[in-house]
Amino acid sequence: MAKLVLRNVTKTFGKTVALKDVNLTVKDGEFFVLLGASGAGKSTTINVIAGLEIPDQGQVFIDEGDVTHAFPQDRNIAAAFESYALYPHFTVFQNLMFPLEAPRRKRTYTKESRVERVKEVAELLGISELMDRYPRELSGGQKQRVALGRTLVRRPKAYLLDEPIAHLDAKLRHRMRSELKKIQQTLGITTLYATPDQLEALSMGDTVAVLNQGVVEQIGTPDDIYYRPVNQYVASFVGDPPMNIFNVDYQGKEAVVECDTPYRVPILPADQSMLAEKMGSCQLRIGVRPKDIRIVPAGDPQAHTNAEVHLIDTLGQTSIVVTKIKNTEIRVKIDSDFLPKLHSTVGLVFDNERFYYFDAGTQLRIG
Amino acid sequence: MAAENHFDDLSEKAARKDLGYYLRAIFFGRPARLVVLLLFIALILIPVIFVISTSFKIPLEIRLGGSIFPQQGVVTINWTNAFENVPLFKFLTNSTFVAVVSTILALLVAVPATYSIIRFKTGGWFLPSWILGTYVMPPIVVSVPIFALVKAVGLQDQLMGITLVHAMANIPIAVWLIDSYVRTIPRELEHAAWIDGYSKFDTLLKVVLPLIRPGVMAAGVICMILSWNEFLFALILTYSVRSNTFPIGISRFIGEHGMQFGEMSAAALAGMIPIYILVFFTSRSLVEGLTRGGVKG
Repeated sequence: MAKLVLRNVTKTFGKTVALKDVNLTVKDGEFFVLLGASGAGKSTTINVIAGLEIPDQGQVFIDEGDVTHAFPQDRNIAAAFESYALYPHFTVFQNLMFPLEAPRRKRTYTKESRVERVKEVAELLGISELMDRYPRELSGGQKQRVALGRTLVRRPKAYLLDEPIAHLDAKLRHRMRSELKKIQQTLGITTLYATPDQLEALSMGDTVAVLNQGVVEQIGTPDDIYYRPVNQYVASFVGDPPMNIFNVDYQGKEAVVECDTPYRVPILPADQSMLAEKMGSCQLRIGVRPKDIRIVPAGDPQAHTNAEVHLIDTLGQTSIVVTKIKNTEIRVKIDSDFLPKLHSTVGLVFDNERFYYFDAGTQLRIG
Repeated sequence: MAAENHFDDLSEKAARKDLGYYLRAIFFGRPARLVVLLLFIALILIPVIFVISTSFKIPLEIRLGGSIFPQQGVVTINWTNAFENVPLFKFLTNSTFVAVVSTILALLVAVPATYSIIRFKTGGWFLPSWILGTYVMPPIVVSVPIFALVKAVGLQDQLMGITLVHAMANIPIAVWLIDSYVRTIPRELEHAAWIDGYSKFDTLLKVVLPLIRPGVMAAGVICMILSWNEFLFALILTYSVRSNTFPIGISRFIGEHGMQFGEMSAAALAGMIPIYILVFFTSRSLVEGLTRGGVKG
């Protein structure tokens, strides 16, 4: 159990900047999620903490010790990689035993306690029947569980998990998500978890860091990230489907949405005073999540604008309706029971209590 | 199969039956290929057959020359003479010691060296090219300095002297053969082992070595063959029965009492047998080891 700290870490590969002045603190016993698209720098962050990459600038601390230049084997961390990295010449059992049999841990575990630990983990991950198989005889999902198991057999200072359940089928992934969270809470071992899946991040993380092209955009609780995004990137990255963001012309009580056929949306008095105070003279943008837009019949007096139903994507209980005002797309998330007709014209009602305001120049959220 | 299909593809062209078609049919058709292959096999086997038959000829018949096969009857006198006149067993044990020990030494250096050069860029660009350079260079160039060095440490005419030189001379070949095997191992495996708590050396032993074992085996067999057949260094570093390896031993002993071709043939065959047995039992991994570099680059 330990605290992990990255201080001003920069890492480049040739001309590509993988991490740019990254500062992170993972508290002792915390489940910390790195959220970002591929190429955002999640894996590099994990490799820097694991000791597989040495940062160009900055420092890495595990607890209070500076481990920036320490070898991976001296850091006492355990990691699972997306590429599994199972030892092909070992059986599943031997793979799981390997970390416990390292020369430096000879004294920590007796032979019996090692076997017991391996059995326990195998049970947990549902791979007990695969113990005598070789990695080449396993499916992708099974390999991933073995890789995860190899991480979990140890009680290191921290677990570093790089997309550890990305290749499991949906049902198993769902179960593993809660299992992992439970294991982490029981053991209380500091965990750094990288994922491109915002649902995983929001449901598992105590703290979430949103990475974008090597830059930490925001660090906060899942609620912070979802309800109080610091900027447009976080706002549109988190939430599925992504937030609708429009350029508007702010006119005090209402805002005119700029598109081929401009329309007006009213602004709440509270927001008006907030904007008056903080907005300055910037170009304003309004963001509204697809779930905060309602579809009403065309010509309904409530409707702020009319739009054409362009596409309907049914996801069981809910559906994503992509509407178009000329060339501007607006995504709406509604209950599948109340679907409009394809290519029909409908009215859209925006919930102005749930508006997000952004500065088009700095892309920062206002408020 | 592939070649036949290739021919089918040409059927459209073949319809025209131009000169190229006839040339291809003659030089690449199935009977033609068979003839060419047989020719090559004969070219390689005839000397061997010649040595075998010579070893069973009556000595006088050998002097007269003539046909490949014995005309005057088959005798074993050359074999018994060879074993009586030449300390063949001593040469065989000498050669075996030199081949086995030099190969072990060469591999002990080559495996960690190759790993280190590839993974940790040890020696930058210089070391790999230097190693290749020593491999390309004719050994005669260094024969005098090597002799001086071995003499300086007092290992001339001793098995250990020639063993060390063979080990050294075979390291470049071993590095070159093991190289492509190390490159095929995903780095993630080594990273995982480091994180699992293993040092770089333990990772080499427990993870890398088991995975490159076929390559190491192939390199070992090649080193043994090269050491077994090596002539130049053995000639200048071993003077007596005490340290003569097989090729030197027979070449010197037979010469001492006139050119006894029959005895020489018998002795040479006796020396071939151990290395043939070795190759026979390892040919599969040997072929794999030698072709690997070409396929995987």
